[in-house]
Amino acid sequence: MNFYEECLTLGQYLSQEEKVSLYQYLLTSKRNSYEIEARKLLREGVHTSFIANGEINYRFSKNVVSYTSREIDSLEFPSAIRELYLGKVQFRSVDKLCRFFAQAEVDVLSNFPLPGTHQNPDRSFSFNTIPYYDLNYYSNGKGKLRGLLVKLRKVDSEILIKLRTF
Amino acid sequence: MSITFPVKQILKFKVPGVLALGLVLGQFLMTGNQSNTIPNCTLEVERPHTSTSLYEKRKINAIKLNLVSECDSPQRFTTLQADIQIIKNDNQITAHDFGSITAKSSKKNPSKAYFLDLFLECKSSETALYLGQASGNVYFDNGVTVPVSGNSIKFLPVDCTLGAK
Repeated sequence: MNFYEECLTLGQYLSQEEKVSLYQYLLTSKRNSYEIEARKLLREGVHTSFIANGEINYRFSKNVVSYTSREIDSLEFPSAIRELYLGKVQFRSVDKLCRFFAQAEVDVLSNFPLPGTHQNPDRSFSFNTIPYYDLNYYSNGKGKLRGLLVKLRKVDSEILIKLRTF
Repeated sequence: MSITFPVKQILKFKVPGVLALGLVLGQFLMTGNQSNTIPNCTLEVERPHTSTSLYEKRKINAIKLNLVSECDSPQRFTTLQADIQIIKNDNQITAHDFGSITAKSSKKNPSKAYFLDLFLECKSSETALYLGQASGNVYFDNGVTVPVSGNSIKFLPVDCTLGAK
């Protein structure tokens, strides 16, 4: 089992740093498939994908994309978890959607890990409020410019290197 | 060609006077009573502790902060800012800021939202004094928002040191 496969089993035992690294890893390693899925979503308005033990249902309407998620085999989808306004330029929309997909997959794999991991049965779907694709994440909501400066100073974490290597 | 509006028809009430008065009164009572429908919510901030489950699962020593918001009616989700405080050289400083985090209401118990994935790996197992704190809002389906805040009451020793921010 490589490190990425291990991450799919960890669920609530994934640290914040590991989740950010997973986001960066997914964004680069699945870029091609994300682009295909993004075009499909823009064309058809709906798209479904799976990661770990979770199913993700994307909807695109009036230039806004949103996603809901449920554990595989569970009955209902809860209300939308995240939303993103895409704007009107399609080239940028595809790029934004790739980031949105990577964020959604990290949210979902950390809440619905592969079976076998002990998860607290009485738990919530939890996630970082500010998504990793928003520069405000890096400044903890104190502005995009400050976030950009923090992000530029960051070097690839050991976790990201481990994900890319093993 | 002129257009004639049927003014008399528009102004002619079809609902009997007593019923109309009842409807207005009912509306007033519902709106006037709204302050009583704001739910009560509390935030439980557990003391930061070294997590045995994390050690068992991943063989890492980590300090963990568990938070639970609970209301007297079903909630949609809770958003919090949470951090761990440490006493260092007789000063209270932030050891780690978890930023803004959100938890949807629990499926099993919709009046609660659980934050069970906040932890940070220890740099060493030296003892230090820690306190957990958090504040934020609970959101409801009807648009009502209730602020919540709390802390783990007092600084308690934990065998874990973190790189302070």
